[in-house]
This record gives sequence, C-alpha cells and structure tokens, in this order.
Amino acid sequence: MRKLQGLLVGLLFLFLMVVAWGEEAKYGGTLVVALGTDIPIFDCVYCHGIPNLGIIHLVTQGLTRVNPTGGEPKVLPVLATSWEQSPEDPRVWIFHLREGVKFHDGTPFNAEAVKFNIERMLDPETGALARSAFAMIKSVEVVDEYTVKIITKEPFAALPAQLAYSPMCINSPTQVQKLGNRDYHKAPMGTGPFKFVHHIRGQEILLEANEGYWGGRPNLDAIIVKPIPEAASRLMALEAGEVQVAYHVPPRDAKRYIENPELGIDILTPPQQRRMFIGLNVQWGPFKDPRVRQALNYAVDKEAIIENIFLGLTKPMDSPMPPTALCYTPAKYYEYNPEKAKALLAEAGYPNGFEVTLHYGPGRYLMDTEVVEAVQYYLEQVGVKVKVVPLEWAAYGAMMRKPLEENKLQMFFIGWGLPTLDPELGVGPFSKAAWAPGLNCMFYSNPEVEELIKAQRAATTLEERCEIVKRIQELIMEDAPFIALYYEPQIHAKRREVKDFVISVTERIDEVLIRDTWIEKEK
Amino acid sequence: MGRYILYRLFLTLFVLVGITILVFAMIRLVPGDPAELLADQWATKEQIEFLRRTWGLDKPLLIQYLVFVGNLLHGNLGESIASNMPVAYEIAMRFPNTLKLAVAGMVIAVVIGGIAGIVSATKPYSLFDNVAMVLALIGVSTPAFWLGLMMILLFSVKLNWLPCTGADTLKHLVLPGLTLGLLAAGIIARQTRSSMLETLQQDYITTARAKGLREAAVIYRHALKNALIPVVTVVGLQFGRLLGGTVLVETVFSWPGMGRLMVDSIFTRDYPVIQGAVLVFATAFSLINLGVDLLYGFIDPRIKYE
Amino acid sequence: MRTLLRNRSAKVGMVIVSLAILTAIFAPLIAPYDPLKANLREMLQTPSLRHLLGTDELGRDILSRIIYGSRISLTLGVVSVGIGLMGGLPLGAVGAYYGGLADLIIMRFIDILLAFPAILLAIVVVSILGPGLYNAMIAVGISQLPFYARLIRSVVLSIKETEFVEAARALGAADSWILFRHIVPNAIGPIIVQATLNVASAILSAAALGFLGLGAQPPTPEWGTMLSKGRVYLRVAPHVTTFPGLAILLTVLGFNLLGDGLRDALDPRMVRMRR
Repeated sequence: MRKLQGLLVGLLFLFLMVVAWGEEAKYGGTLVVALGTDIPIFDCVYCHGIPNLGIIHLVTQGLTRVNPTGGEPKVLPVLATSWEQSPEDPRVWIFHLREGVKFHDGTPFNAEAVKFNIERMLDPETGALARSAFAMIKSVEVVDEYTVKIITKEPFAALPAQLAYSPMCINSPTQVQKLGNRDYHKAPMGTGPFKFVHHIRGQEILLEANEGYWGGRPNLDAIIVKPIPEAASRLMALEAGEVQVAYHVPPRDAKRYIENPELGIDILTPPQQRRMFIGLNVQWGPFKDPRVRQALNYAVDKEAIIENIFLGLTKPMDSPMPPTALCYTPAKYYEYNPEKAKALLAEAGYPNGFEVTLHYGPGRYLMDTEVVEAVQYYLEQVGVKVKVVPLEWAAYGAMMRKPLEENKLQMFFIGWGLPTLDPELGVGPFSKAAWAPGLNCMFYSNPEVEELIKAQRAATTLEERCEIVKRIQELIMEDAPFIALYYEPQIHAKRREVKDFVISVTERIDEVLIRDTWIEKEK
Repeated sequence: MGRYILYRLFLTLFVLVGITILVFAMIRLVPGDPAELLADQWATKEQIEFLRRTWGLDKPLLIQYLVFVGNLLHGNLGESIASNMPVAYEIAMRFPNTLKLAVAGMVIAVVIGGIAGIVSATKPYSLFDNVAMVLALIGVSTPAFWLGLMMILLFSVKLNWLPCTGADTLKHLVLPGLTLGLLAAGIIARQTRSSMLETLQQDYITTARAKGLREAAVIYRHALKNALIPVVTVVGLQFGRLLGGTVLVETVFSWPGMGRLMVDSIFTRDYPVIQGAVLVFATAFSLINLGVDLLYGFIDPRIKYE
Repeated sequence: MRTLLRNRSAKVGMVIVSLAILTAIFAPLIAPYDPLKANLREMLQTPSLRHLLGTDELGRDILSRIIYGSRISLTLGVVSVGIGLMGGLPLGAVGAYYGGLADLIIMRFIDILLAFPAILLAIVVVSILGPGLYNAMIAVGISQLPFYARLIRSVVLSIKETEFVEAARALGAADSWILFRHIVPNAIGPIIVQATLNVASAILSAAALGFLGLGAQPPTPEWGTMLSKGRVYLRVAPHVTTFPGLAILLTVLGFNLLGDGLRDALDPRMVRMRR
C-alpha cells in the first residue's frame, strides 16, 4: 500500500512538474507583426485605418468590443462589464464598469475617465476624425465610481455596438490633460495589456507587456509592429522569420502556404464583414429604373469571380449586411442569369444596352482591379459597355463626397465595412440622411426603408428589431441600388509557433485575447 | 570668383522661392483634400468643413501661402496633418536613411564604375573593355524598380542571403544600395573610361613612358590624377540624380526614407509634409548641383563663366 | 551617316529600335493572343508552349501584352519628347535670343523645374491631372522640358554674335527668319542626339509612373504598369515581373545605343579613337 501511495505521489509530482514546465514555456517572447502601412498617429481620436486602430487598442482599450468570431453575443465586454437600456426611457443607458483597473500611469479607471473620453471625442475643438459616428450621444453622467449613464438624443438600440467602433478608446485623463490633445499620442497611457514604448516613424512601434494588466500579465513580453507596404516583401519577412504575423496576404500566396505546410505558415481567415459591391447612382439615367439595376445583378457571375479570383475563399453577397451581422438574413441572391438580364434590360427599354462609366480607386481592396475587369467583362456580354476610370484613392474619395448636384459618379466599386456588426451601420446608410457627403453615393432612398430604419432604432427587444431589419434587407436587395458582389475575405498569416493569436472579424487584433497569445519555443 | 558664388547663391534663393510657390500651387490643384480623405465614413459636411478649418485649409490660397512662408522664415515647416508631428521631425526621421542609401549607392557606383573604367581604358577594345562598356550601357538603361525587384527575387527569395525590407542593420543596406549603385556605375564607368583614354593620349604621358617609367606608375601617378577631374564632376552630378532615384528604390524595398515620405504624403494629401519634404529635397538637390557646377569651374581651368 | 553606320554600337541600337518599331506597327499580326482578353481559368501560368512568356494575374498572355506594350512605350517616348521639345525649344530660344530680363526670368523658371528630381515632378503633375496614359506623357514631357530649353539656349548663344546674324540683321531680316535660317541647322544635330537619348529616359520615367500606379492604368499593357500589378506575385509567379522589365531594358538600351552613335557621328568636338 505504501509503495502504491508513493508511486501515486510521485506520478502526481511528475505531472505537476510537466504542467508547470509547459506553462513556463508559454511566457516570454516578442511578437513581430507586419502591417501594410505605418500607423500615422498613436491616438484613436486622430488615427485612421482599421488594423492601425487595432494596434492602438492593445494599449488603450475600448468600453466594449465586437465578438471576434462574429458570433453571438455580438458585443462583448472590455472595460464595461455589462449594460442595460432603461425600460422607462430608451434613450438612457447604464454601463457598469470594470473595477480595480488602473491606467499605465497609475490613474484609476472609473466613470469620470469614461465621461472624459467620450466628451473628448464629441468636443468639436478636439477635431476627432470620427466625431459624427458618436453624434447620437447627447450626454454622459457619472452615477457612481463604476457606473456611467449615457443619454442619447433619440432611442438608439445599437449604442453598445457603436461604442465598440475603433476610434473610441479610453485614455488616461491625467495624461491627456498633461500633454494636451494634439501631443497626447507621444506618450499614450491606457488600460491595455501592453504599454507604449516608442514609435520610430516608418520603421517600427514597440509595445511592452503591462505587468499590472487587469486580465493578468500577458504571456508575451513585447510586441513590435513593422510597416512593410510591399506585399511580396511582407511575406518574405514572414517566411524568413523576421516577422511572425503578416496582415493582408494575397489569395495565391495563402493557397501556397496551405498546400505547403512545411513552410510553417498558418493562414488566418477571420469571418467577413465588408460588403463589396458596385454602387449604382439611382438618380442617373438608366439606373433610375429598378429593372435595369436588377438586370445588372443577374448579369454578373459572382460564383466565378469568387472561385477564380478569390480561390473560393468567400461567399457571394446576398444581403446588404454581412453574415456576421446582427439580424442578418440571406435576403435575396441574384443568380447568374444573363438571359434574364437581357430580358429585363429590354423590358426597361434598353434592348441594346447602354454605355456607362465606372470609377474606382485601385489598390485599396484585395484584387480590386481583377474584380472590376471581370465585372466589365460580364456586363459587356449583356450589352452594357463599361468604361473603367481608375483614380487615385484620394481623388476618388473626393468624388464620392460630392453632394447630388455635383456628383458625377454613375457606377463605382466600393466596400463598406461593418465594424460594429450592427444593423445601424449595416442598413442605416441606405437612407436619405446618409446621402453624400455621407456614405450613400447611390443617392438611394425608399420611404418604407426610411421608416423601418427609424423603427428598428426604437425597438426594445431583439426579436422585434430583427423582424424589422429582415424586412429592410429584403426591400434593399429588391431595390438593388448596387450590383451585389461578395464579402471581402480577410486573409492574414502567422508562423506556426505563434499560438492563440486572434484577429477579429473587424480586422483588429483582439484586444482582450491578445493576453493569451504566446510563442512556442523551439524544441 | 567670390562675387560669382554670391550671385549664384542669390539665384538659388530665387529658385527656392519659386519652388515653394510651385509646390504649394500644384498640390492644391490635385483633386481631393486631406479633410475629405481622413474624415470618417459617416462624417457630415459640417464635420469635413470643421476639419478643414482646423488645418487652416479654409482660408484663401494666398493667406495659406503667406502663413507657410511666414512659418518657414521662423524655421517652422508646419505640422503633419496625419501625425500631428512637426514636419521637420518627420523629415529628420527619414532624411538620414535616404542619405545612407544615396551614399552607399554612390560608393558602390564609384568603386565598381571607377575600376571598370580605368581597366577598360588601359586595355581599350579588349574583351574586358567591350563587355564592361556594354554592361555600363545596360546599367543606364535598366529601370531602377525592376532591378530592385530582380535583386529581391535572386538574393532574398531564391538564395535567401539578404533581407529585402527594413533598415536596421548594414545587411539591410546591401540590396537597395547595390540597386542604386549598379545603375549609376554605368555612367561613371563610361565617363572614367573616356576621360582616361583622353588623358592617356596626352603628350606628358608619352613622355613619361619614354622616360622608362613603369606602366603602373604611369597610370596611377600621372594619368589618373588628371583624368579624375571630369569624373569627379560627373560623380557630383550623379549624386543629385541618385537622390532622385531613391524614390523608386525606397518604394520597392520599403526603405523608410525621404522618397517614400514624399510619395506617401502625396497619396494621403498631407499638404504640410509634401511642401516641407519637397522643399527640403529640392533644396538639397539644388545646392548639390550648384556645388558641382562651381567645383567644375574651379577645377577645370578651361571653363570660363560669363 | 557613314560614320554612324561604321559605329558598331549604333548599329546594334538601330537594329533594336527598328525591331521595336516594327513590333509596334505589326503588333496585331505578331501577337498570338488578344492582349486584353482575360481568362480567369488560366491565371499566373508559367511559360509554356501555349503561352511562351506565361500568363498574368488575369490570365492574359504576357507575350502579346509585351508586343502591344511596345506601341504604348514608343508612343510614350516620342510624344513626351515632343511635348518637351515644343515647350522647351521656344522658351530657350526666345530667352537666349532676346537676352536681358526675358532670359533671366525664363532661365530661372527652368532652374526651378530642374531643382526637382524628374520623377518627383512627374509624380506631382500626374497627381494634378489624374493617373492615365496621356497625363503621364504630359508629365514626363514637362519634366524633360528644361533640357531642351538649355540645349537650344547654348546653341543660340553661340551663334548669336556671329557674322551671319549680324549681316542678316543689317540687311533688315526679321528675327524669326534669322532664328529659323541660322539657328535651326546648327541646333538640329544636338537636338536629335538629345531627343533620342531622352526617348530612352522618357520610357523609363513613364514606366516608373506606371509602376507607382500613376501612369497608364490596367488593362492597358504598358510595361511599367504590368510590373506594378505583377509585383505582388513576385514569389509565386516571378515571370510576370521579369519579362516586362526585360522589355523596358532592351528598348531603352536600343535608344541609348542609337543616341550614343548619333552623338559620335554628329558631334565634331568629340574625338574618339577608331580602329
């Protein structure tokens, strides 16, 4: 009996040692991430570019975040642990905050800090790039140290999701006041798992582990972010081991990594949220007739495009919202039917097609030139002659912002992301309020859709809201103010030794799960 | 001579002023301004207007220009719209890298080109000469960006000897420096060869040979010194051109230098950075050219100035 | 002309240039495929018997695109030089001939243009005009303008004070007639040499613009643009970048050889040892 006990204890001891040793292997290491651009400024209020903001969120976190898998629940806690809408007044929201959290400079995180940051975003003097995205907030009140009341101007069901939008992050009020709004980015202090060390312009950004992080010290010691704009070079650095994570991998290289596992590179394909389509200016010529617009949808073979250009790595667009969105339904799919397209065109009075100009800004989206050329080809087959005009992105952006009277766009290739996974930003832009200089350069407006958009905002239960949003999606797809194409696939790559690393559906590195990321040491 | 230098400097100043006006006007002619580009997707018209006001872009062009010049006279190049940092800072972070690259390229060019030129001149019409001169001409004809990509293909992809991105160590300098250098080496080789040939024709060389001096001494002690005069001026001129070539090479190698700064800021319509960077670049360029011009006149007594 | 023909490198240059011109003219006959026809099922194929130089990212035959591309590059080269000449010659000639304030101002303007590295000037001009083939030609033309202005200026200056001109003026001849009659013949030689060499650099500059995405836009088969689109595939399909680059190299080389040869033949001051 003694011997058996001894043996068991010995085995237990051995087991514990192995576990401990295994745990030991998890700590340490520096993760090097390669992005396609440099981060212009390390402050969410002034920065643009989603992967960039994702890095900033590793230092200064947000109140909420979107579920990285795109699944339910759509909105997850970060610095806010729970929230509810007041039953008496739907314009009032109560957010409960995480307790015992400190900023990197020691300032305690509390309701005052949240109030400070939201007001900073809304204050016109700050000059925040995304101020309009939070314009629905009327005021913020401190209830007690860890409870905050946010009051919106009108009932706004999507508030928690909206707060997950990248430009909103919580900075140390002490630090912002000390350095001033415009210089704060030089030494940002947040609550995140990593602290900001330095930013050598054009070369690298260094972040180091936050020992006192509320989620427990991260496994990694440090993160280095390198900008490598040249895609081929980025991948070479990945294969050589100079970087361990590379953003935005072209489909062909992804295929190569999958087919050659000995290269030691794994592909990350977070779920999609960007809908890619050809916008149609519904106030222009033939596009005034919905039959013409539907015809164009039948004319393009989306499956072929996805198969050949994206190697099957995504799905065709069958709703104005991506599949990961809250209340998504596959509203309508326009299958490839050139005969039907021609019939519809003839019915609408264009038996011989017509000529049209398509603008876009090449280089912005994955394989955009290839897609535009494919679309041009398919439309040609049904008699619609497309003249493609590529523009520099800045010039294209300027064209898109012109209001109706000055806007010259007829067809344009664009992608709309849905960083909050919420119908507010999913179908909201399909309204008159969003006409250019807003997003809606199709100048589309359907009175029924307008009513329903207002209604879903005021909805009090999820079921009610999704019922309304389902109808909105069907109406929009029927009206077809665009040629619905596909959802942009997200393809990134990491070296096999990087474990538990998650890129969210929003394209950002997940700011909570990064804590668990570790690098397997070589045996 | 001193008066002439002053005169040229004055002209250079005038040219620089002209550059500021030209750059200023040109970038505002480009469609799309930073407010439209950077404002969030859901920005309203008022929001965009506000951003314009923040960056001083709503004022009339003349006022904007005067503000720019006023700042310039105080040594202030303005603030980057994208990064809130002083333009001078952005430039200071990048200029040394470009300089490193240009100098490396120049050194490689002079070494390879110079040696090739000298050897060719001493053995005219030999196999070496012909091959070298053909290679030199090919060097002049090669697109810089293509050469860079081919270098990456050969040395990084296939052979995996050298890194193709980043600027941290000396190893990172090799490929981009080589790309720049090989292009300029061609011109230097040709110039070295022709001026060596001309020098070797001269009487004093024949005299030296007749005196029984060894061939090597003839070449190094007598010919080379005199032959180098026009070569030096060509090198100087090439340096200016090399600086221009960095724009393409930096793009291919993701090298964090001035060239990329300028191209990137044009794409992001970061007006203050474009103005500052182009101004600094053009100034450096002009001063180098001016220096070479003066040096040329100084060294070669045959050149007279009006 | 005889000296030209005797110069071996010039001969090679002429052969290459002629080849390029012939390729451009007879492109529809030589090219095996339609350069614009995409075939999504045959993307990025390596060189094979069916596609001698492989296919690009949209399945188009690279050989055909390079053949048609010669039309674009030659047009680019010649038109850019033409624009540069048309802009530079009058400026330089007028300034040099009338001298004084006009000359000073014009030359300072030229200096300002020269203060920019050519590629940068081209980039800024294209940004204003918008990317595209024709705008690229204008941009490159403008960036070359200063060279012709300076060239014609030195020619004009050198003959301005000669007897011919004095005599002609004394006889009451119009200035423009003098310009034409005396200056042009003297200027033609150096201009031709410079122009030929500048066609070479114009092709390079335009290709650089294409490479940066600012020049000819896809699907136009301009060699620089082809390189730009292909560089993403450097690892999986290097042939997409290699061949257009070689095409640029050879064509530019041809023009450089030709220009060199012309310079040797036409410029009496450069004495070169002959066999």
